[in-house]
Amino acid sequence: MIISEHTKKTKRQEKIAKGFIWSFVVLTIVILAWIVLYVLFRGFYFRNEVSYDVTNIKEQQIVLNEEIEPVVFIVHPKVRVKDLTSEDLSTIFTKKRKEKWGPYTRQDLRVETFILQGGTDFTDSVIDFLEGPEQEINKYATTVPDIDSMLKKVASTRGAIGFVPASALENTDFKVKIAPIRRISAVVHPSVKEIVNNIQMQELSTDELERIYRGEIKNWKEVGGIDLPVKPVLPPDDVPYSVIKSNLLPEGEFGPEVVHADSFDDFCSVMKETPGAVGLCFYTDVLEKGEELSIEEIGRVESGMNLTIHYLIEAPARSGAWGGISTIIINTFFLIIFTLIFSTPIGVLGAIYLVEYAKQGRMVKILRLGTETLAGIPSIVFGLFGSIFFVNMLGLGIGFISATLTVTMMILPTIIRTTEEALKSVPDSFREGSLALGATKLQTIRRVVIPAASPGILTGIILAVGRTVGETAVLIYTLGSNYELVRGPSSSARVLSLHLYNMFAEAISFDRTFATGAILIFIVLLVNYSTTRMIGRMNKMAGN
Amino acid sequence: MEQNETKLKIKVDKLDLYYGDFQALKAVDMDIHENKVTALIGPSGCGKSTFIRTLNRMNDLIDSVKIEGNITYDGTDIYRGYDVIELRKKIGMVFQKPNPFPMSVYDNVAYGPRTHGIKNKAQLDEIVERSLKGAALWEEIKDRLHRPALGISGGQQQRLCIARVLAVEPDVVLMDEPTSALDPISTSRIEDLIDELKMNYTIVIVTHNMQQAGRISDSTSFFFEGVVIETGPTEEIFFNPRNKKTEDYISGRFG
Amino acid sequence: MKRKRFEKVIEAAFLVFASVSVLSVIFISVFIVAEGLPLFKFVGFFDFLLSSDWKPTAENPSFGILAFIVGSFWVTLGALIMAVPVGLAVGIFMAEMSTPKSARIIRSGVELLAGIPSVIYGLFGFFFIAPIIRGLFGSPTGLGILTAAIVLAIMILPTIINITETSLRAVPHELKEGALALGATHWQTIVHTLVPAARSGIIAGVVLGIGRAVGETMAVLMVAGNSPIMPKGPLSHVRTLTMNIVTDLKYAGVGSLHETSLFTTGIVLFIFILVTSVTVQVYLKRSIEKEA
Repeated sequence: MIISEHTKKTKRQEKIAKGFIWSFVVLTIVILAWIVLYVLFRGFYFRNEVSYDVTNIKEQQIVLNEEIEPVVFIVHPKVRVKDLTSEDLSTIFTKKRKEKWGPYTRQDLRVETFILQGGTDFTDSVIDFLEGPEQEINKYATTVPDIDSMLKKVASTRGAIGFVPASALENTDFKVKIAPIRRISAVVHPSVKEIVNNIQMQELSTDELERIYRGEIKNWKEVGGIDLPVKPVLPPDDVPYSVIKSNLLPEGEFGPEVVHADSFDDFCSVMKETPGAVGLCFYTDVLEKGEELSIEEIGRVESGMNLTIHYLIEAPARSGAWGGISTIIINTFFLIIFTLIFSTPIGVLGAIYLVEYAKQGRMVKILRLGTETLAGIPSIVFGLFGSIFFVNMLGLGIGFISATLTVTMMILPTIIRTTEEALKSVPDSFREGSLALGATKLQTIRRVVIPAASPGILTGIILAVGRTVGETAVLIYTLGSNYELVRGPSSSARVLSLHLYNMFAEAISFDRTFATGAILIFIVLLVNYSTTRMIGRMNKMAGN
Repeated sequence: MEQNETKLKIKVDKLDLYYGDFQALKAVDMDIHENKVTALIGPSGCGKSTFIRTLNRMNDLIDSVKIEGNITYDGTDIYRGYDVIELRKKIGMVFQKPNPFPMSVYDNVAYGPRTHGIKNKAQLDEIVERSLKGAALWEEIKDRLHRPALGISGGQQQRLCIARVLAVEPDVVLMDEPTSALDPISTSRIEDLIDELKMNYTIVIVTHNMQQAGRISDSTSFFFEGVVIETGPTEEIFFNPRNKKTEDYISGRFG
Repeated sequence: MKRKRFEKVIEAAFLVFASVSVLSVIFISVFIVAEGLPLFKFVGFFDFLLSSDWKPTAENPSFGILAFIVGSFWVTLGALIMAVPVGLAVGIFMAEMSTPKSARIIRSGVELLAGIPSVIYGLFGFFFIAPIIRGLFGSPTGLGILTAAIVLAIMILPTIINITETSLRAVPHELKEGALALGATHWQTIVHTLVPAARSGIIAGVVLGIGRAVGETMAVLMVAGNSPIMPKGPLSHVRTLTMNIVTDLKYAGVGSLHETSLFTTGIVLFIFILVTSVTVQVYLKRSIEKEA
């Protein structure tokens, strides 16, 4: 192969340069994929680390003492509860105001509490458990005479919560859901929480707790604490404490270091006197024993589906913290419709003038320049303008009219540009053919040109829709933030983009922010897909 | 005869060229002699341009092209024995429409040498002057070397393109209808130039203009529908063609 | 006859519609200027532009927007530094190095990138990029000029890629052939012939990108930190001109000097965008003229 040194050198340079180009291309593709997938992933699946005063140990049947049956807490099937802490339970039954399920399940649903008629050992024990040392069952609780009516009421009342003996569920036809309860807390000797050299024990994870009791973790420094040996303690084997042991490690594979207390008092004194000690008991014990025991927070991972059908169907509450986003989706839909009603005629007909009628001279240049300039104006300037002019000066107020007018101005260039392209790509032979048959210019435009250009025109409209849905800065001060269903042409109404920003800026719920984001991404994907199909169809019609 | 003593610069042996399924060149044989002007004539679309572009592997740019046969330059196969960059340094091309780069006259001529690693200003100056003189453009343009090349006339632009090619110091200069976009005066100046250039270079020229071929070439090949119908010394082809088709084309009966 | 008159009326109606854009531009600019100019009765022109003292609600209010101009400047510059090389590279790839099918696929991807709403970019910047910056540079929040520049770079990438590709494809084929025939490699042709020939278009694309970056509001609002003082470095929290308007509009009293000052900020933005718009038009025209 005849090849000079210099040519070899330039070919090498070429390889390196092209390599860089390839890596930038790959980078761009990765960025795109990452953004889309990241938002979709976090929109569909949430994963948070939350700490509680109780461990993750869930009990479906609660053994309160040895004399009565275990109690089961039941809720109406529509209550989307995963589990409740004993503190939650207490609050639900004793809070001085009517409680809602929001803080527990994010549902905008009133809690309806039911209690069995007092007098039996069973009911009295449960009420005791619910009331704790200082509270009382509130006035909102409904009393039911017997177990059957309890089951009936809970199964049929939305948002209901009540309790029955465990055996009552074995043969019943009533459809109720069991709410597992978490009431077991971890307590530590004060030495564990000391600060030495800026190190202090923070929360323990559920996994770490288990490993401590298996004997795998021997020193507090292994879990972020100070250098102090771990002394795990367990409460006695008698009821009700036996459930603690059996639920923590069902196989009973406790480490050799674990101290098994003989009685509850023994447990408390070991806890008080052994540095590095960690033990498990009921949350209510801690409340009752006052300062003797101090709670170690246990963290667990809560994950699950984020964007669910429920989210799409339910109406929002508490500024979006509870409920869903149904009204917001509908508001968005209305905004799109209104904006299209205004902007499509102006845009399409204006473009028709520019392409079909105007003499290609100074005037057309000015009109086009105007469109290009309008396209470049930042959205916040539109927002500023709309907010002062439409909202204040014209007195249209914050609402759909102001927003529609402002957004129309903003997306006009998009529609005009794409319609112009579409009209220009219609071959002149179509027009000439129609005119030669004796049709007027208007008829030609209406019957021949517009249908031929329709995929392109539709593309412009779809793109305009995409921009409207994604716009935020313009809408903040013209559309407002009322998240209920829009009531009229001048009522304020939150749309998807505003909702996302609101929940983010006010830190209401990051999970839901991403869920809303996922919906927005879907709309963008849909817009993109439709325009690609439209353009494909346009090319086919032009014979490409 | 003179031609047997001169060296064979390029030898084409049974060249077949396909654009996809369509065969554009069929079993083309051609000998191109050193320091001679070889003209390729024939009606539009008969493959002359396609053929000349094969000689400097410009057809490599088109994906659907398939080539069979042998082309050797100075005895070396241009596909298997030559790196394409090297080849194009040796075999330059002037195009039908003058295509100066949007830079100054100087930068246009210096483009080739710079690409091949010559950075020294004095060297470049010398090459630019030499090439522009070789293209008979120096006197007209020596005061405007650093002005945009797009500002000169069409004929001057084409001579600039020739100077550009000369600057890489090729052996062979291919010309694809170099004067068909120019006025008669520029055309005749370039024809004179070709006459001078052949003393130092080997020229292959595609032309639509038979009078041009008759005026400047030493040997001529007549192409028709991808096949070389007849090849030979120019006088023979024009005054004593062996093939009837050749005669018909020469006398203007078609094409 | 009646038909002719009818058609003339329709034509006039179309003209009216076509003028809506121009009328809107004129109206908006007049409005913004009218609302914003009165500030200069109270604050000097140079004080407004060159002072970084922004205290609109103090007893003795001061309205200096230098901090915001500087903020906009740095995030835009940072974005350009990152986006122009990548955008050029991808544009070159699509025009000269890829197969038609890959070019089409990448183009759809780039269009997708262009269609993503700015709040989503803000979300991504806040939850994904900011923690990385926090980890890498020890910045307490991870927000600031650097994060905003990264987010903006991704946002203006499609603009630069698109125009670069279009401009490169518009370069006449003969120029490429001429260069190759002289023995240049493909890469040499791209760098020394094609890109210089497409220079006007590429510059137009970059200027357009600048316009977009300066005009962006929501994404920077979510990641730039919103601190109305002069930034000290790439990790400083900063506020841009757009952020200033959107942040203060909420609580500027109606008809107050504060509100006026926001319009004045709007004038500055407006003028800047007009300048970039005109520049783009000029360069685009130049690139088309070259073809002829």
